[in-house]
Amino acid sequence: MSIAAIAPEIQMSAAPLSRAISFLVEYTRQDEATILANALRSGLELLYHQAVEQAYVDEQLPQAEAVAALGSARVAELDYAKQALLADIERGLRL
Amino acid sequence: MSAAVCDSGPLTHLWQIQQWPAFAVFSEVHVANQVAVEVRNHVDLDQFMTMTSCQLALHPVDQAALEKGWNLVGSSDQLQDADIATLVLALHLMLPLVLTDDLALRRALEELGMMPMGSVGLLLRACAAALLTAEQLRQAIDDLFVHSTLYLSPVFRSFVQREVEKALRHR
Repeated sequence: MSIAAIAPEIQMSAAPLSRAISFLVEYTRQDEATILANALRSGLELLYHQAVEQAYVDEQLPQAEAVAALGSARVAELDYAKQALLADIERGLRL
Repeated sequence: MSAAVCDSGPLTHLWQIQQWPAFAVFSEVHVANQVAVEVRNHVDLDQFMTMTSCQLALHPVDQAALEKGWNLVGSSDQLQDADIATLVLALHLMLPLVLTDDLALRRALEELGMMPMGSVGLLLRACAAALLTAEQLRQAIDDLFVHSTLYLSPVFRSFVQREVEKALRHR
């Protein structure tokens, strides 16, 4: 997919993107293909973690699978935040 | 009407979504000076009483009191002096209700038997007190996740919306 095919609200404009790639090539001394492959991997990993978190919070994914993808510390944080929000909602209406 | 101790989170986040009037559910809000200094970087705290009709009391928390607070919670790389000042102030004033959006401070408060409440709870309370309509509450919750710097991941937005709807139906 070309950059132009990406929805305008989510695309980084072409000039900053090419400037970012040029900077990375020069600064990291990696070739452009390697940088783009790393960017794809990092981007996918980020999207994957976000989707797993969303599915877990929405109770669409079992805890064991969330732990396997995110680690037990992150899942414990999500559990605590969820419990805190439920307590807030309950207390807010009750007090 | 009641009193609460507040840290920087609810003051900042509710300011960002123009919901300071929700603090009117309290007659008094107590803030440690360390928190006030932090909040003033983002927010015009001098407008608080005008916008909320709630008394704002600022309190100095000295170094000795801070050290006692740190001894109570043990070492933590997630807590700052302003958090500990909030905890110490709540203990000193014997006010169990502490308004905070910080999960680490929330844990510490719960371990000491106190009652933390975040911005979401405060908005619900304002709705229960008829300061917000159900529709205004829905909008405020949405704004909290979109327009404020609330610590919570956006993945909680739909979860909170669902739970708020359930709570509104059952009240």
